[in-house]
Amino acid sequence: MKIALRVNGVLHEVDVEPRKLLVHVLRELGYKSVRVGCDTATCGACTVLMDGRPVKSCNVLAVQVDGAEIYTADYSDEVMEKLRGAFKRHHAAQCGFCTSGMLTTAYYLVRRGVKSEEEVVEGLSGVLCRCTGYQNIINAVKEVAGL
Amino acid sequence: MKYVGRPIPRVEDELILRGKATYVDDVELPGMLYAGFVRSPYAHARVLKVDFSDVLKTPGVVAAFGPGDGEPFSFAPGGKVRYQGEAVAMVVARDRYVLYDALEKVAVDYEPLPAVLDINDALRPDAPLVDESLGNNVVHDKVYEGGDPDRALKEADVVVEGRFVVQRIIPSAMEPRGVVAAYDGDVLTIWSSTQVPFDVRKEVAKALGLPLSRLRATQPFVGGAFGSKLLVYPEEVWVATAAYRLKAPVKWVATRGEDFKATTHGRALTLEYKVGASRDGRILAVTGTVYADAGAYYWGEGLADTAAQMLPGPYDIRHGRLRAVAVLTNKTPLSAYRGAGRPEATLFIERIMDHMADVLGMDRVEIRRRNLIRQLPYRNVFGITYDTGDYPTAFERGLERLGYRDLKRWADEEAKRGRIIGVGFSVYVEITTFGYETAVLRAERDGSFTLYTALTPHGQGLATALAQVVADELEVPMESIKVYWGDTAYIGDGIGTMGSRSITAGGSAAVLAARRLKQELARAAEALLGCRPEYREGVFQCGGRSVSIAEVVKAVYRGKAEAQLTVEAIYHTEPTFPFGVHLAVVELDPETGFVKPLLYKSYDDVGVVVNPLLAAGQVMGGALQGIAQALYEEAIYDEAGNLVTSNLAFYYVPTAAEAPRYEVYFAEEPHPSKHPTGTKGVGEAATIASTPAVIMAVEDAMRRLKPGVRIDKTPITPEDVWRLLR
Amino acid sequence: MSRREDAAPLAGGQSLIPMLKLRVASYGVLVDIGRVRELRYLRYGDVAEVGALVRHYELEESPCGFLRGVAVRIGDPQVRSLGTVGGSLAHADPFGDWPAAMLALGAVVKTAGPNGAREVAIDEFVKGPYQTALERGELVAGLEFRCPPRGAYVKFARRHNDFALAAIAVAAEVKEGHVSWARVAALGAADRPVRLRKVEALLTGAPLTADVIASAAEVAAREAQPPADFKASAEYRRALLSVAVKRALGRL
Repeated sequence: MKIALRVNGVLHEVDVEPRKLLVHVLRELGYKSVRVGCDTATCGACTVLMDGRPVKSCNVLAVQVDGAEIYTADYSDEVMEKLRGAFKRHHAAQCGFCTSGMLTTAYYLVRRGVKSEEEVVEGLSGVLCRCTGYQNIINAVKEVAGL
Repeated sequence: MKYVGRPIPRVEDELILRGKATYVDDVELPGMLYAGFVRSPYAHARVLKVDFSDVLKTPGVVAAFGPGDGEPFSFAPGGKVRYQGEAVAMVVARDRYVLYDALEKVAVDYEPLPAVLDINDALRPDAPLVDESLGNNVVHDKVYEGGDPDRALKEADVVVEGRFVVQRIIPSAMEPRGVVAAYDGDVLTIWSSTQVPFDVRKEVAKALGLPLSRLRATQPFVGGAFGSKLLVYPEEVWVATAAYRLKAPVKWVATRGEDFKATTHGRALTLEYKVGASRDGRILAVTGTVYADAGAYYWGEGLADTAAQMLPGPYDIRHGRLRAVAVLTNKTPLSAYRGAGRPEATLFIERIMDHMADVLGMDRVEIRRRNLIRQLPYRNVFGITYDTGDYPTAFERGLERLGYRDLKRWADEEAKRGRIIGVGFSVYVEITTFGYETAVLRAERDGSFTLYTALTPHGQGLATALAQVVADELEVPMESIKVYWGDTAYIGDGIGTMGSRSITAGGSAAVLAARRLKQELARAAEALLGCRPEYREGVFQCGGRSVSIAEVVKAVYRGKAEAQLTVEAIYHTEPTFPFGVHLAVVELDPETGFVKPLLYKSYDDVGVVVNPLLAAGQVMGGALQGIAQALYEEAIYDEAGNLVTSNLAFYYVPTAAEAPRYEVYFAEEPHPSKHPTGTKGVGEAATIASTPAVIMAVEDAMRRLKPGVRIDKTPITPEDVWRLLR
Repeated sequence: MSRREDAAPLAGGQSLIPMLKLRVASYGVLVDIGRVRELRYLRYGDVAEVGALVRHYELEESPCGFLRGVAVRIGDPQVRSLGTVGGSLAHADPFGDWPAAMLALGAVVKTAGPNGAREVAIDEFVKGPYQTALERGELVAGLEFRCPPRGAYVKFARRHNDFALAAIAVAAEVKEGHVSWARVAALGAADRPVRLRKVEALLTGAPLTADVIASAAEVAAREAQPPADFKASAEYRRALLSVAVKRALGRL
């Protein structure tokens, strides 16, 4: 089936098998930051922003989202760069495998105007990290969110 | 020292934060094929027949390999499979979606066999045999002894006995395992999500009869490992063989469900103990048995042994006998998981201390005070010599710094408001660093440097730490040093990142390489300057003249002087011993048994701290894994040998919502190791200290409601707590 | 979908797609209803009307407090972005949050199918684990209910975002300290979401006092017939349900 996806502002027109997951289509289009970490939509490493909301791209068929506007952790704008700077300063990444999911989710939280640490924690709870213990990630997001 | 000791953010983050870090699934090669495995649904079964006729007719399927294919394919050795998830066949196809359909078309005839899933069942005389070549399921049995434990127990005023069961853990690195292999007719290149590319190269070379020089194994970015990637797995050899034979690149990446069964599990040790003490709280003897539930193959050698040998911990226990027994069962093989025997050792001895304190009516701090080793170096009863440190001072300073007494008082206050808060601590010493490590350092024409390390970091930030260490040694800017790691193209051999050894073993090798390089360049500088120069910040100077490193290098290339511009150092280590005190605060919901970790604090003496930002990251991440072992995670098999906790939805790796807040401290006056870096390693320390601290905290909370209640296993689940409190 | 045995509707996909990935379910045809605008309505009047394709997150800011309390406890933020209320009802997971909530609300399920539209009372809709009253080819079109004057949702799960070990949804009206009516639904009290009618009977007309709440909690424990699995024993679920009833009623 032919679908169109706008990823990080770039329009892609692709012909995909109906059962193909969005995460695989994105990776084949070169957006390698979107990662597969599990098969139960639990780990969140595949999280992208779609039509303004964080979604697990492993849990969506690409054909379902024809015409969607998607942002991945490859994206760059002022907020994303602030997040990258904060992640680096706070040592919020170790192995880096969950980092894309954390960045896209954090981007959503900052743009939405998250108002407390509890909201940051709740917002990040859908992305698993095995390395950092989470505190540095939470602190990085809080800093950019002005908390 | 300009860089060591400073909290410098990581150089690795440039790639990681831009999504440009290449993990094994990101490796794309023209014509790449995808491999997948047919895996046994049974815990124990004979494999009667593997039929590829349907799968080979499937469009897009290129090849299939099974038990009939002979070495190096070693599917179902002995004609049977020994655990659910053991690979029986491999299919290679052009497309990943076609592959997973194709795997279902491989027809396998199994004859299920009775399975043993429990150490006690496996030890029965009539138990089904996991390995028929052994007479029973005991694959390792060794006694460690020192002093005269029988006499000490006889003379003891008090003897306590007990049992502590540590659960099976699934390491759950966020990146599942995977490997890509490609053969261009000249060189076979392997990318693997591994901690041991050097071993991968050796094993594959042996399997295929290739010289090492024709094989390159490289570690891309690896999404975590925690000890579960420090073996060479059969899949790596099989995928490499397929690439070699098919003359096309082949990629295999495990699905999470597959990884849960095909990647080694951790912990799964049980201690039966009998401990004697004097009335005044001195532990006189520790005896007992450590059992390892080794799973289907004895891949994780020495885990029970390490737990036994380190069991005395930081305490002066002069008599002991511990038997380390590894028992085969029909489950995923056991191997290292962050701490690899030391978390269990510390958990065991800390629980023994608490048990004894209860029996003697003694305070938990006091009993430890009375037993801490006072003088180092100290040779423990099982022959392990702890190097440098001051445990009594660390204990007092640690408890003070972490605010133990204040937090206990606060918990009392909160109890009046109806909150049940528990505070617990642990004291530990742990053993890190072993073997040799290599580094190669090259001076570039412009005075910058390239460092190749055989270390294999997978999140630790070692490229940054090594650059700091080498920059200080060479007195040059850190930015001028580029570090490459984990690739057999750069270095002939090494061990890699595991066992908290990297900064010590790899860092020291890098320091020695830097010193050697300075000597080489100094020799050439002397020839150029005509006098023996002093070296300062990249410049050789004497007799009123100077020459920079860049000038020396260029001169060597021009033939004006001689020097080795690329030097190698192979550093042989001995173990070293970090130690410290950790503390946990938890809140208990008495009606439901739910426990929430609120706060976690650490005080560690790890010798020199090269980068406190990175070291604190290791402490926090390590702590959460130990907290999760205490409260959340458990690999559960049912009676038929099915792994019931088969994926991340059912296996409780904690989310940000379960994590506590952390406060990390390092000793103000650390005791360095004898290694050139003065470091002792920090990667596993918090995982070692955290589980017992949390268990003590939970028990502390529970005892506000029911005195004398004791926890004798991990995890302690909400249901466990609820049952114990009734 | 009425013609083919191997056809299924696809809305948010948050329950269906994991099943497909794990190969525990397999279909020849998926009918993507995700863009059917007619099913996206969300109206709060005297009666709340929630179209089947309303996503969980849309109810996190609902003016109806009870709905907010349920919506924020479903899955994680990403699941809430895509998962739909109608999908959750149709999937009828034994531990599904919306089925329990709708039982407490006494919702009416509106269906649409080849034989026209139906209205099914929620009590008749959930028939068993993953089983509903939907006929072949039928979809959940929407839900109708009144936002209760008082309500609470208490969910116990191992991790913050996990499925419930046990949960209680209460909707009620309390006038002058007395319960005029109450609907109490449970997860973990049976092999499907169920109402605890004995608890409801005890509460109806009773003063909302600590004693009554304690009795209700006790009755809940006795009325429940919880399943046992590797996550929890029946006994423990019973205890959790009791505590959940107490806490939910305490929040009214």
